[in-house]
Amino acid sequence: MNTSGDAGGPAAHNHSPENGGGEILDAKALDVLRELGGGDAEFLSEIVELFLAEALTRVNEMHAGLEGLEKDRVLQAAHALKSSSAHVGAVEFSRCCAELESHCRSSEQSEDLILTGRRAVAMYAEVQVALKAVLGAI
Amino acid sequence: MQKRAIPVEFEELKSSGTLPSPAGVGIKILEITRTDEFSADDMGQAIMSDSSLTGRILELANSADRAGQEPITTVSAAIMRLGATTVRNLALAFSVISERDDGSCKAFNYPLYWSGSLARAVAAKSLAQHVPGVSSEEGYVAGLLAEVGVLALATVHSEPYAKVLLETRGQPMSVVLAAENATFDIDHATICYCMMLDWGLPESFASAVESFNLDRLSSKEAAELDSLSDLLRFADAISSAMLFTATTPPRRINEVGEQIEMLQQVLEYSDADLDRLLGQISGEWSRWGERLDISTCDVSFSSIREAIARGREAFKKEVELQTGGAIRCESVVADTIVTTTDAVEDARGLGSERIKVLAVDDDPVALRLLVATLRKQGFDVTFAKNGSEAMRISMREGPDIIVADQEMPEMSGLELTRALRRSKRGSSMYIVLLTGARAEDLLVTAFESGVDDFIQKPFDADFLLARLRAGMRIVGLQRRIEEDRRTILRQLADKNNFNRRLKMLSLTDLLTEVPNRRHAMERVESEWKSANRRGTQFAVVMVDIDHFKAVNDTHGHDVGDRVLKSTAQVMSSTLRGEDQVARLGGEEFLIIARGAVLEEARVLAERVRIVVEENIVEADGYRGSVTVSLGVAAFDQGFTGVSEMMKAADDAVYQAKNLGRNQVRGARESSSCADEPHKRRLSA
Repeated sequence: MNTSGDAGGPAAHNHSPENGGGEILDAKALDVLRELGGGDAEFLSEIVELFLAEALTRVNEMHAGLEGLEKDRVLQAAHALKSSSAHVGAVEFSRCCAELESHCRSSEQSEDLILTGRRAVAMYAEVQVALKAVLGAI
Repeated sequence: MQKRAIPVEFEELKSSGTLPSPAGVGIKILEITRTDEFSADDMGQAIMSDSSLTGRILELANSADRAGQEPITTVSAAIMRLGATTVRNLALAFSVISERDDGSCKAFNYPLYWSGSLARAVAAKSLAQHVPGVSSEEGYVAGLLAEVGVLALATVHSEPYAKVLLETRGQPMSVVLAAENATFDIDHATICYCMMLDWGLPESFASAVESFNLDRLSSKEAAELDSLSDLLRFADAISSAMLFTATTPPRRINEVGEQIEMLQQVLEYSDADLDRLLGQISGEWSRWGERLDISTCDVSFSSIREAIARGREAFKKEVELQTGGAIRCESVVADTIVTTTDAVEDARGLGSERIKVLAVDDDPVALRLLVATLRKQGFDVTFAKNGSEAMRISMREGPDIIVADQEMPEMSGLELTRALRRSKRGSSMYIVLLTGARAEDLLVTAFESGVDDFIQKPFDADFLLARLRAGMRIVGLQRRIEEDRRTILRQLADKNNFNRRLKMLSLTDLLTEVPNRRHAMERVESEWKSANRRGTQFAVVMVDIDHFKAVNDTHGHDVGDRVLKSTAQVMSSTLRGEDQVARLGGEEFLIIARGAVLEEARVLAERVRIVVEENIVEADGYRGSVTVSLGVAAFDQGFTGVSEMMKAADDAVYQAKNLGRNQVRGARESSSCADEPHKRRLSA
């Protein structure tokens, strides 16, 4: 089941429970963004807003792709979300997208693809809430 | 304070003749102002002889912290306002700067030294208003020259000092001073003191600079700003903060942070006040940098504060790790003055142009982060959202480095690389590809396509910068190669141009500016060959000015020369484009008529005879005309070679002379004189 292409993940996170056992957002990644902004909170909110806008379209794409069983469409969305979500610290979600991406690349038509896809879409809702909370706190 | 004796070690340094020193006008000013009772007028005159020096002094006298006063426009007004001694010291300091060059001490970063000195000068100038008895101009001079002792050692003892600097790198300043004493029997603090005195600056000034060098940044319990050396210490902290790089050690950042905090307390400044002060210093730094041709960089003080906070945090951790908090930071580390190649290559590009980076990613989040990371390092960054936009920008702006995402719709990073490598401009860019985790499959293809390096996404800022350093080195090399190539091309062009001119000169008769004998004979040879090979025709007309010797003898050589020149010109203007007249020597010319058979050449010669006869020459009271005798020989007469043909034309001229001059004779024409062709002309 765990065929994630993400080689960098620590072993502790390798099996991901349905509701995401780890933190939804990695505080360290957000700190990196704050630091990069040089104390300018605008920068962090700019990045988060950029992500939310971009991710919404991608998640919709992913959803539509899953409905119509269009592997390529799901693949592209998962690939894009994998990297941009990592930047804003949505580590679990990013990992889930990586897993989904590898399912899409595999030749066999598996149940896992649909299941992982649904999990990703559901997880995104949590990410969205958490990031909006970050925005609210700025 | 008692004036100390100048140590013999300093005299030795001085006798090397290579100590940094004022030059040009600076030396003159030193001479004029040797004694206390120098004439301010004389000094003003000396300064005014150097317009850029005058401009700098006026700018300083009119600068913002003297706002509200009438602007001054003359050196004497500056002397009135600032005092003769201050103007003198300014003039000296500027003249030391204008003499600067990048010396040979390998461990010493000369551009960074001057950048730092200028930043310190500008900061000291701004802070001086808070120090009783120190004018802003004095602050400026002190800041500028505060570390001149270090420069002196790097200049005079470049090799051994490089060793000292490398060995003490990262060590507290006391260690550096001790190492200097061990190696040279003198340290840079003492040298500073001696140089100040040597340049006639007051003892109090020299001592302040010396004590600044001895206990710079030493953490004082009670913060105060009431002397020139306090002023220098704080100004130095500000200048160090403006030059922070990625490689500045946390310990150093911590010290600078402490000083800036202390300064804030002393001035009772809020964060906003401090930002304003520092912003103003940074602005002035750039302006003066431009004026004095010293590199500066854009700094935002919010980012400096951030860097300080981060550095201090890191330092605290370091200390906790090492000794559980027992380390006390002992004065300053040597990194201010010793900067390694890392700092030289810092993206702020001190001493060279900023490095241009193009960031390319279709993911807006990743792109924004990439741009922010690169900008923070001082790169000149442009960005593109896809491959084709990147291609357009590359061709237009010629970035040095491109950091591009591999996976982009339509045009991937790899395709972009291939497209760039096909263009001349793109062939020298340093291209880094951002790839996902599964890049291994790509490696070989990518390197073959011309990718220089890979970085995995999501990228880590420090890692990215470390990899870009390699790129920067290559960009630096490429810039140098390109410069060399241009120089070589220019030299080559100069050489070709020179050779062409030389050749032309060697084939031209200098007086008449028509081709000379050498050129004429080459041309006859080549006409002969072409006539033989292709059956073309040509003829030569030998022309000799009649009674030329009489013109010279009667009217002088100047008139003779004018006659030659005028005759050459009038003949030249009579000829058809493909015919040519040359001067064979003396008053003898040759016309080469291309394509002409004997009869045609005779007609041409007759025309020449007439225009020369009608040509009035006027020179130095002489007014008159000369006539010519002409002998024609044509290829169609069947000569066996060039020399026979030339000889025949020459003989024909003799005949014309003998028949009464001012006439044309064809070669081998029978005439009454034909039986005595060897008869020399005795009175041509």
